[in-house]
Amino acid sequence: MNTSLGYEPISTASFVYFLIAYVGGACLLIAGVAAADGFRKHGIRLATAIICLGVAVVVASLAMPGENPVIQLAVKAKEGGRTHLVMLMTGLFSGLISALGLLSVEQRWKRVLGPCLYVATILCLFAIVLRQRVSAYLEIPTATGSSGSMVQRSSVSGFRVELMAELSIAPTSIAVDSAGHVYVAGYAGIALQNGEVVQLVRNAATGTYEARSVAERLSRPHGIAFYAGDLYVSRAGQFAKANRGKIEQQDTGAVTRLQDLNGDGRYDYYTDIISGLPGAQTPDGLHQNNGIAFDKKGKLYVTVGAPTDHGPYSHPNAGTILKMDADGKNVAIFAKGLRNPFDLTFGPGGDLFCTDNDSDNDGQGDELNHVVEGKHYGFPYTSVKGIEVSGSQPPIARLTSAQGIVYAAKGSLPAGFDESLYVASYGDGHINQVKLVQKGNSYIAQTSFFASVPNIVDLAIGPESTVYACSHHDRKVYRIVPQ
Amino acid sequence: MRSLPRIVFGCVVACLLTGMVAICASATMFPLDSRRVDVGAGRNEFSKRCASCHTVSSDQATYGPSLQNIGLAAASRVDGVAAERYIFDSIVDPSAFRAPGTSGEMPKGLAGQLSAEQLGNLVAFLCEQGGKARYRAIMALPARPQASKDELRVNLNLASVEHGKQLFFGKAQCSSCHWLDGSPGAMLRAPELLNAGVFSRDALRQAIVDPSKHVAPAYVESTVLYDGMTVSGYRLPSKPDRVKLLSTDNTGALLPVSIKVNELEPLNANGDVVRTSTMSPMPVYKFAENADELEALLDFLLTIR
Repeated sequence: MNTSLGYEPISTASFVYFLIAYVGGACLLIAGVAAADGFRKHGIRLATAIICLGVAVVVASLAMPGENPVIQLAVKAKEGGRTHLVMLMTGLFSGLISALGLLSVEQRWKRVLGPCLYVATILCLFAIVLRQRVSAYLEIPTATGSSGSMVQRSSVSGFRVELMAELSIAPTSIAVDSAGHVYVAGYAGIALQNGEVVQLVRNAATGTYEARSVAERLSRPHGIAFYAGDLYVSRAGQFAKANRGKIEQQDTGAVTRLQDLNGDGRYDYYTDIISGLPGAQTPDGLHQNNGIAFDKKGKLYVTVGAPTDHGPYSHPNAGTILKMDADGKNVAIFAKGLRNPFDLTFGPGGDLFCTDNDSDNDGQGDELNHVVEGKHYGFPYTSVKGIEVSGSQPPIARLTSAQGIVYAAKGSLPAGFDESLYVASYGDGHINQVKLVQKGNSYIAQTSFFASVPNIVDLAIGPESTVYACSHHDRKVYRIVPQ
Repeated sequence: MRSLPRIVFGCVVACLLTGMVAICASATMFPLDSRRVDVGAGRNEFSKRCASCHTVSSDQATYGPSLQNIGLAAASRVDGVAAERYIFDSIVDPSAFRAPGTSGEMPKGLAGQLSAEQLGNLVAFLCEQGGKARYRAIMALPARPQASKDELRVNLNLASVEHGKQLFFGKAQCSSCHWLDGSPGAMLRAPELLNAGVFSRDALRQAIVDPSKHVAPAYVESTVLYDGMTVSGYRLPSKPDRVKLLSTDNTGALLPVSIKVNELEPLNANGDVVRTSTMSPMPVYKFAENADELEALLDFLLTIR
């Protein structure tokens, strides 16, 4: 996935190809029979078939915006892979059979079948297009509507996925403090320009969880972590200044330490421990400093995205993982050459692992990296077509998309599930378990499905073998618990 | 049993009828003519990617041949090759044809930077130079060949590329004039280098070592004398009674200056009021004694594409 948070519409291509193949096949047979058997005898059928073909092609053109479906079908259907070919052949045979039904005089029900299939396909196309058109208006930032029963939730056997809480914020990051309380950071406010951190508090009477705001006015919070009782938030903004004829994006990225001085459970004393990191700068506008984590010695690691989609960038800290003291002193570049490292965690032996939204030009998927001090992970050079740059670190795995990451230490989950990384894939809504097999200085990753949570961006592991997962688009927190 | 001719007739009629209806119906939504080809977008591609070497506004060759009447000339260059195809092939494979009386080498791989649509728009724009773009002929151009990518493949070393990047943004000060972030107006001060990687190593080396060998028309420095002061900068389009220069103020910021021609003081006995420099405004950077710095910078530039 190229961007960290984006929405993918359903493709209409298969339906379009089916429809065209269907009416094309039917029309071919009817026209052929009409020409061979006498136009007068089949005149009405032929006229109907031609009108149906015309209507279908126009509908297909409308449903496949930006492309001429007939030309696409002629030159590019193969590129769509097996699905398109299957749809094409199914369409063609259905069309031929329907035409046979129309041409036969004896059995009336056969005549009804063809037109029904035709109308149904067109309705399907309309439904998809309508959904795409309407959803743009439904998904207004303030809406908190749920996907309800439409969402399929599943997991590997031995676990079940439960809805834990519905939020008013669109979550980006989740963390569990030392007392086992769950905190979620996310976009808030009418245009998502505010940023909030909420604590999930159990209502003793009803047993449900409610969100209580503990910090706000933190724009674009993309990572939270606890250290020594304080909350650290990685955040950024988007701001440009025209300077000497050039519009310049300002470096708005920062990590803020939040302290609760009066002990009311709400954070009231904010300190930027580091600032001046590249924010959500254009041209990409989405990459920024994301997930943060503390190691056992109390050093803070900060992921910093590069502001470009694939080209070079100038900020020295862009596309890196920074290492610093908990008070922001002694900042050093720990690793570089990342595109939009989204989250990081410490695995076996204190080794650092990160996800990187670095699906390169060939669309191989996002990266899971074993981060070694001083290494370069290839961006932007590995995303440039036609050049081969030697000396960069390859990822240990690629996933369709990779956002939040957490390591399940020994005993934190049932046997067979602990001592593994868990990676959230926003694109397909999967949590994948990644077992690590040591090989030399690095690891081989063995990836398997763990659970499915729609639009998942981040996950955390809490007490009692509970995995918490937050869903950005749905504004929900799920928990995955052993059955 | 019907006779064979009737069945063949039926098949032919069926194919014709179905094909015609399908294409006509889809064409109501996607007209197969001028609306699918955008000459204006082609002009933008030209000024972004071609104008540093070619001009369409003068018949004088700059670095590459003038393309002022290429739409007309292309039709008659090679027998049996239409203008659209001649221009298309010349972009996709610069070595395909050689225009009479030219030398030098156009970089390969420019076409690889363009989508099929952009390439069509560019061909249409060039056909309009002295000729008329035939949209159908442009729509019928072949898809751009994919094989050329491997020919351009270069192997680079990461440490050297990173060293070059440090020079570019640091010591060599390239980034103070050449912006790589695609900002609006990035090409005002110096050529955008977003396509640098498609040029050959030798061409880039020459442009750095001897920048005055070829100065792109937009970056020729002009000087005028006004009120006892010399003002220099790039010439900007202006009304005939004025001279407009893109100068720099004392902070180094770009400053457009417009002066009436009759207020300018003559620079020589002929009464010329504007002098153009043959030297590139780009300074020659003194690389460290060993050649590693220059090669590192070239390695970095080759990654920009």
